[in-house]
Amino acid sequence: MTDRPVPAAPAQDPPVLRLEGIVKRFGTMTAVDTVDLEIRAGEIHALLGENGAGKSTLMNCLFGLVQPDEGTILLDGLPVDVTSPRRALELGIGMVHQHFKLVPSLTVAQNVFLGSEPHTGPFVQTRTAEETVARLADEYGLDVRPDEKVRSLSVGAQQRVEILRALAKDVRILVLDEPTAVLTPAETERFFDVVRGFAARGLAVVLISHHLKEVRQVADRVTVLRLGKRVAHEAIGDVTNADLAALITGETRPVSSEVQRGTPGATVLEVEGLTLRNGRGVEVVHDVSLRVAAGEIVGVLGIAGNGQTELVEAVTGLRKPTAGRITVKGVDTTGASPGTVRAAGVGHIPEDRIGRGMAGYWSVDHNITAGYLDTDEVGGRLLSDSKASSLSARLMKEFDVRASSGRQLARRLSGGNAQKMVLARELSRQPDVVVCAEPTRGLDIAATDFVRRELVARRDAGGAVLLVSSEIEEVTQVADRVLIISAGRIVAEYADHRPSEAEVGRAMLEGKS
Amino acid sequence: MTNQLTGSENEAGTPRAGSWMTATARRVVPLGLRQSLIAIVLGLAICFVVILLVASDPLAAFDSFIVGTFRSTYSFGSMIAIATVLVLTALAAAVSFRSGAFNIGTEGQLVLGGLVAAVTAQHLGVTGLVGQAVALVAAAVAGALWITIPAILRVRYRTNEILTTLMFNYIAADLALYLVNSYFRDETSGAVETPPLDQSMWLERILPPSAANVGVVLVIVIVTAMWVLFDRTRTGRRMEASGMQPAFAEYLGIRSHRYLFCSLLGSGALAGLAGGVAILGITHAYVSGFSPQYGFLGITVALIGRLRPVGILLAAFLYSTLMTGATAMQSTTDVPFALVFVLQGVLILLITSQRTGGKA
Ligand SMILES: Nc1ncnc2c1ncn2[C@@H]1O[C@H](COP(=O)(O)OP(=O)(O)OP(=O)(O)O)[C@@H](O)[C@H]1O
Ligand SMILES: [Mg+2]
Repeated sequence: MTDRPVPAAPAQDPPVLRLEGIVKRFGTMTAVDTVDLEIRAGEIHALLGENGAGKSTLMNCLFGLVQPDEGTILLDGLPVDVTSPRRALELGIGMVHQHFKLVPSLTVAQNVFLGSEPHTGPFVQTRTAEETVARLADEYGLDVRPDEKVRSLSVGAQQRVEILRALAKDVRILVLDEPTAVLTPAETERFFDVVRGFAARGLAVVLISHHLKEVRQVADRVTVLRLGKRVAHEAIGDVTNADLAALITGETRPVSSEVQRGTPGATVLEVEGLTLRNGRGVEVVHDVSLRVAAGEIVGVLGIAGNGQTELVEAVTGLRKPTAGRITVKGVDTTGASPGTVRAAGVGHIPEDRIGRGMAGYWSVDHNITAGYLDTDEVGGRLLSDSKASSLSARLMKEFDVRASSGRQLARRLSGGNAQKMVLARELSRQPDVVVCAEPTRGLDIAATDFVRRELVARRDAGGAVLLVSSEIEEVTQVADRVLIISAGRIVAEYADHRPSEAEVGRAMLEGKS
Repeated sequence: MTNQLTGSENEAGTPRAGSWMTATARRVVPLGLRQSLIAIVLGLAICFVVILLVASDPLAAFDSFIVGTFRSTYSFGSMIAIATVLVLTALAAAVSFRSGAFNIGTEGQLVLGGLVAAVTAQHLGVTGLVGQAVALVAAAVAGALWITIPAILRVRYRTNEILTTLMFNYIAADLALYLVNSYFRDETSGAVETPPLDQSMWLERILPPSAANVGVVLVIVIVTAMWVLFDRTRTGRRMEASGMQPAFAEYLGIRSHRYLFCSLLGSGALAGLAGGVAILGITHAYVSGFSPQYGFLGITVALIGRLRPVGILLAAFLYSTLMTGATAMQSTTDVPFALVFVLQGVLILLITSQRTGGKA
């Protein structure tokens, strides 16, 4: 599809920001290829595209994190040179990153003013800082306590801190890179109210997202990138979701076909009367029992923070239960180490893929082959680079991990590709049991589809899949059996039919069926 | 709730106070040669400024500092002798840093290793190569024993090993002084030292009359072994994962504690061995104060060498060139040897504050 003309802008509304012909290359790879973009005051502008399409990179150019190789950035019609994030903030451009950059050991107010603390002489004015944060939080409806340590905040609250950080600098343009990927549905709703508030005050908002539904809810206009090139920019009212999906992926694919239900065999994973405490010693999972059979996907659906994180950790050996029993293929793995659980045939796709699922300072090759260190596929007595990289290259291809090469540092992967790298390591060993938490968070349409198909394929090959997710659609479409978790208890089970979204939505909120 | 994004709640065995170290270990390994070179060039530039400020004849000072080492076989040999010891202490630091623990106690392990080597060599009754080997092994064992308590405290109780190993340095210094004074002192000497060793226990000199000795061969063997360990074995790979990202290592089923404990002991052993090599190869008796801070200098060398064995080898040669240069400079001009410590501080600062390649 070709670049259609921009819908005529109202004359009183000149763009505050124009990007013209931005090009950014990494080595031989062009991440952003001659992209134009214009953003007006008071609009919410969605930036869409596949994983690795160059969305974050384009915005990093705007925010001074990377320097574009070509092109100009015009602010109020005047060319500016954004040499650093500090300069960007001075110019009134703020950005909330895909992966937050907060200091966990500092308070909210300290994080907000990091590097620009209000001070008299050499003394930091903690009170002033906290009052400013409280005022801003109040003004924009962002609910956080300025004196709380970031470490103890939920992901949603951390994100509000990131936004406050931008607002404290009095920005006119706010870039939000996949802000909703980590939020619960309720948090997302509240977040969008806040974003609409920004726009109403005349801020220009750029929103990166993979959720077309959300985009339609809040955005005024959309720009679509594909392989680094702009392929469309439209008013949201002018395009259908199907159009957008086609623009994003570059092909008109049918909406993913319905997943056939599996034919469960013998029970493989069994959890009996599991009781768990969280890190603070509070009991968060009470007497949970569930079983997953070979050839079956069991979905555990619930609003984030209802004990599912701890449940997954216990099943994978990362958390010791206070009571109960876990068996894998008849072998008792209660309280066993993660290594033992792994060896018993359990693959784990963790919720926290950046902190848990990969080493950012390792290459993609190292990250993938880390799951193969106990095999001879990475060498004999001594490790062989050529064996390892050919294994890694094969899996990168199979799981469509897009990187400049296997030697690229994992932290430079785009969000979706990082997840595919984790999948490549975990699923390729064909584990009998797959435990996955929020496996499609932050993934584009095609990648989401890909992950779901991989899980189904594992099931069809006789694997037992435990899918823990807060996305109703995901669980209801893929799982053969759906369990609803609420406040640490399984409160409902749907076994003989796939429940409707409305049905499970009610059960999730009410905490009972 | 667990901190999903930083994953800080469950990191196996990492005390909070140590998170900056993990961060350092994470960042230093992937850095390349370029960053080291930048640090060295900047460090030298600062040294030059200091020399310009304090020297009455800056040119002569520059000359002995930089090229003095290569003017005579003697000073070149001295450089090699120092490098031999520095490589070992730097490898000691690197082994622990890589697995996420900071052994700052290499100085103490080295001193005790040196003393044990001297005493063993003297009283063993076996001479020649076998005797030397036994004395060096004893030195390594002493170094490993000296770090055992901090290692246990770290692994079992998460006690910050930076503090404990650092404090053990002071205990080691006093303990060595006490032992030499009360039991092993050479009564004929005015200094605090053990009697000179029999020549058959000396590591053979390779560039007489300088102190350069066959310890170099041992060092090359160990550098190779370390390279294989770090780059070519599963153990090394797992060790690196534990050091870089404990939560990831735990998830992979790596028993980080075991690797941490073993690498702390290995680190102590290498530092102890360094002490043995210094005694059998250079001073030929335990002499109180025989170490011009080899242990601490090793930390700098490890960082400049990016915790990689070959990098460490190169960094050690560079650093000991400057050390011999500084000694020469001190004797011929009015610039003190302490310039080396200025350089050390500047290099540590530069290297630990650098970011991984380019902007991101
Ligand atoms: N610093 C870097 N060095 C090398 N390659 C990079 C770097 N930063 C990004 N890339 C590459 O550029 C491409 C675009 O990445 P970018 O992060 O912009 O994608 P994205 O559109 O934000 O994707 P996602 O939706 O997955 O977050 C990717 O292929 C990525 O691997
Ligand atoms: Mg991105």
